[in-house]
Amino acid sequence: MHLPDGFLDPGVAAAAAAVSAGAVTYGLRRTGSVLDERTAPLLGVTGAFVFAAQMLNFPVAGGTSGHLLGAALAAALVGPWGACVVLSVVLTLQAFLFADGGVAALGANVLNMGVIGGLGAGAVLLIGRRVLPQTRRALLGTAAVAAWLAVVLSAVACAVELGVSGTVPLATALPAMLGVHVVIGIGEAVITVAALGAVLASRPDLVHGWHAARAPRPRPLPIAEV
Amino acid sequence: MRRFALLAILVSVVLAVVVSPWASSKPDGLEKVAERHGFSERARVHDDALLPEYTPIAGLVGTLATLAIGTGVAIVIVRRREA
Repeated sequence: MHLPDGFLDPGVAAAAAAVSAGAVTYGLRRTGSVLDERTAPLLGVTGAFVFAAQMLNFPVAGGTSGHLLGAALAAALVGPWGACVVLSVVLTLQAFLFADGGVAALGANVLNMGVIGGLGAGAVLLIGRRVLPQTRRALLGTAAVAAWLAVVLSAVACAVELGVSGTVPLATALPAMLGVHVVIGIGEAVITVAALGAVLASRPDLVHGWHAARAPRPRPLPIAEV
Repeated sequence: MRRFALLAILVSVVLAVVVSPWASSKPDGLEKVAERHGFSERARVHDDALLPEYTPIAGLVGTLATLAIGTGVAIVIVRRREA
């Protein structure tokens, strides 16, 4: 749901940019605390995957397509603020290199997909961690809900911006955006669960907030066996 | 981390380069809403983009660029935390 330039009133776009700039700046600091030397590469790797996966539009009903947002997957790996940062990098590159999403609208896109999507997904994941037992099924179930909600919340934010801009009445935009994105959210949930499931199976220590009973042990030096 | 990262990057590149041509070209949710409710004409698309279409090459460039920038950002913010 990349907003091109021209859909939003310039004032709305500027306000959204101010909010997202503040959030991402704060998010950079928080992410710096969450990551360490071992997990730092996750930010770039997650970004690369999200970028690639966002290229893969899948058909949904009514002559429409959807694509992965990736906020929930990113939140599951690098935390909610990390997700904001990851999505910001992806969206910025898309806007400047590929003209996918406007430049003036970049702030709004980051706000919708990165900040609201990332923090919304992160909140669901956090609640799941607190309330549910730490099992694979619980995590993946929570991730599915987080993924769906991230898409829906982003769509709501987008609809509100369009409505406030006067581009289309909010009473029209909201059901229209919701209608298609509650379906796209299902695709998001499926892809997120598949990807996160793969990470959980291979490297559970890389999942944010997941206390792996056994992180991969370093290989012992041969000399120790003598 | 290295093996995991390399595998994830490989998967990403394959998706961006090999799988992306098969992606649906139907309009996405927002575009469809814009068409249906008559504001799609408002879009002002910049025609000076470096890579205006999502070709496999563009996908490769974008994936690797995201990797590079994301990794660079992470290095800076982790280092700053430990400073």
